[in-house]
Amino acid sequence: MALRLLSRNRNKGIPVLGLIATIAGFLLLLDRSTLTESARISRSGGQAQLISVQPLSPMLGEMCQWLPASASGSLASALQQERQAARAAGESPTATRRAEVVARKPARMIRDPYAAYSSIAVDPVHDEVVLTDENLFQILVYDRLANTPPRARMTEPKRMLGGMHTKIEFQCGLYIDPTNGDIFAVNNDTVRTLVIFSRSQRGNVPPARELYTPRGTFGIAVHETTEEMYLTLQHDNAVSVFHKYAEKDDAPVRLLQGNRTMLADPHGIVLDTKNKEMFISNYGSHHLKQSTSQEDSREEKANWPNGVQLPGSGRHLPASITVYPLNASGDTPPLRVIQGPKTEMNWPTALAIDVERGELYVANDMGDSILVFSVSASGDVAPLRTLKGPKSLVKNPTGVFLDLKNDELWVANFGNHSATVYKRGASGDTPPLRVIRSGPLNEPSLGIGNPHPVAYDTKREEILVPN
Amino acid sequence: MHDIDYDEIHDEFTVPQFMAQAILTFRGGANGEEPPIRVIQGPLTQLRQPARVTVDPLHNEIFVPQESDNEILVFPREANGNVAPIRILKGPPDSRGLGPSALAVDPVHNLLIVATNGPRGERTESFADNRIRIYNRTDHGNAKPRGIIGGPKSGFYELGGPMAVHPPKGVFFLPVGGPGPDTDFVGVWSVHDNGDVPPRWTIGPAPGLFRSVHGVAVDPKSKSVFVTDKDLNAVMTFSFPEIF
Repeated sequence: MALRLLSRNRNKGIPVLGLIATIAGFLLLLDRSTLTESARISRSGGQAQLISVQPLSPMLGEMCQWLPASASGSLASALQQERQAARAAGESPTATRRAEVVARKPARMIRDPYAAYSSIAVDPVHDEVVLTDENLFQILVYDRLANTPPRARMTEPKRMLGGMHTKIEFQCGLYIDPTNGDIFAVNNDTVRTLVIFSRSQRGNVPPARELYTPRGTFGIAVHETTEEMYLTLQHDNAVSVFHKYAEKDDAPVRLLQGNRTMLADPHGIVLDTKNKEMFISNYGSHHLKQSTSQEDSREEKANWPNGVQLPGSGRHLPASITVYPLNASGDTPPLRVIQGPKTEMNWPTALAIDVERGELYVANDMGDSILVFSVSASGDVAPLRTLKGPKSLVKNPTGVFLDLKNDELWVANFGNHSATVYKRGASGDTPPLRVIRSGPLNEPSLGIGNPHPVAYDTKREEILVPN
Repeated sequence: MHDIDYDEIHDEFTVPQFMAQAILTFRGGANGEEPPIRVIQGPLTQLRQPARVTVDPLHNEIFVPQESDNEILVFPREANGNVAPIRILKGPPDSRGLGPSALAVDPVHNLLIVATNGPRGERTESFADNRIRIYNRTDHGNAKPRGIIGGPKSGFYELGGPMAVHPPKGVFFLPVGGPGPDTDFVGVWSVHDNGDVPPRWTIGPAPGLFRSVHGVAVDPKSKSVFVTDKDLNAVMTFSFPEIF
């Protein structure tokens, strides 16, 4: 309440209360040694002398605040009320009152009751589409041909994975093993574990396999021929490459990291096995790594990323797609960089590739669009085409998948509880062929994902929630 | 973004951006893709991995804890660009791993309230190293805290989430992670507490209330406490007239 008072009476209240607080704080800070020192100095004068000091008793309660004679009645009244309330707050509450508060239910709760689709993959062998949900911590499997009429509340999944045993939290990357339908699901920065489920698993079950990863994994891609699995690492500006069947504490086989890589908060990843290249999408937050000999700067695993940032080296770079040789490691600079205002990239997240047509698909989260570039694009180039608009239902897309068997493009829309599918090559404001929904049509998506801090804007009476 | 602080007096909010080692300040009514009005970033800043931030609007200062370096950097509130901190509160050299993970400023009592967690991987149910350390607001260098709260009665199994302070009453609100399901709570302590002191008030722990409590903010006007829960992906508002 006082801060509100200070705000409303900015030019008058602050100096008065500030002075009071300063004086009170100064007196509180005076201890016996300070007073003794003052007494010793005072003896040297020829005037009235201080001959003894009696220290005050230790302060137990709140000190009385001094009111200047000029203080207004309202201010005095306000301060008086505050003092009384402060004394009440400082008192030990009774057990009964404490118990009431302990068990108190929230008066209000802001929470999205529906799944927020984050990443997507299709299992063309079994005609299923798999989606991760960063809101309710689930993996949902639907019939590939499911379609949801506008009046239907939601699409019924064929099966679900979720619950404490699954270790599913903020899952942002997904890969389906084409040989057996295994689901590889990437946890972001709250769980340092990649979880792999067999196709037959459902419910609250432990993963069939786990791999302990560096912090902040996001994208995943697998090279089936070499049986290598690539993971982007947001926090370390790196790409870790593991054996496809690695588990638990197995170390990466390769690491791409260094100040020349231009990796900057990497998210999506896709492999062009035909041209032997790797594409990475970068949001643009960048810092340099510090060369260090500190023993604990790395875990005792081969090819583990350096997590030590060089202080003061941070920069905000434009979003980019960086392209590397498929087997790049160490501090390898990119072969090409797609970056600049013509690209329209704004939080480029997941990637997909059409090797046949030589096209790269970008889920452009904050642009509410799917951008398509040539795989050979470089520099500040415009996309070949863009899928975007209200009819398309593309809203905060964070997942994209190209189903070449069925000639379809899938999009996971984090911003509207939907997964939408289009003909490959769709552009402009094209309506989807089919829609999978986790909630009612037009039900607003809250966009809450890992709400960490919270603040209250008293001027607008708004709750501020970064994610 | 791992923290946010709204400055009512200047109608601004400030967030840390740890991947680009920056402190960003926006106007209070910022909306959409709006650029910050000030950015603290660059070699002079010494920012390494800023995850938390607190603004003292009365004394015009920004506090940034750096957990891995066991230090708290203090900048002028209106700093912009590549600006060096005006002072640094830093722990002893042998205390690496015990750095500040969250903090709050009480500008009325001139105090800095700092949460420190024990070394990761070495936490025990004895709550060995999880502490709240209270400093004078202007302390710098290797200053001794004027109070240390912690121990079994305090129940700091896990600290580090953004906290809130209510200076008129001299109390602060702390999100505290527990050792298991239904053990998280929000505790209220006095800024004058010292030692192994239990919270004066708690919201929770209670069955089904919190899963993973993360951050706290308060609104004295409506006598409300706002709590975020990571596992619920939710923001809860509690009426708490007893404390305001």
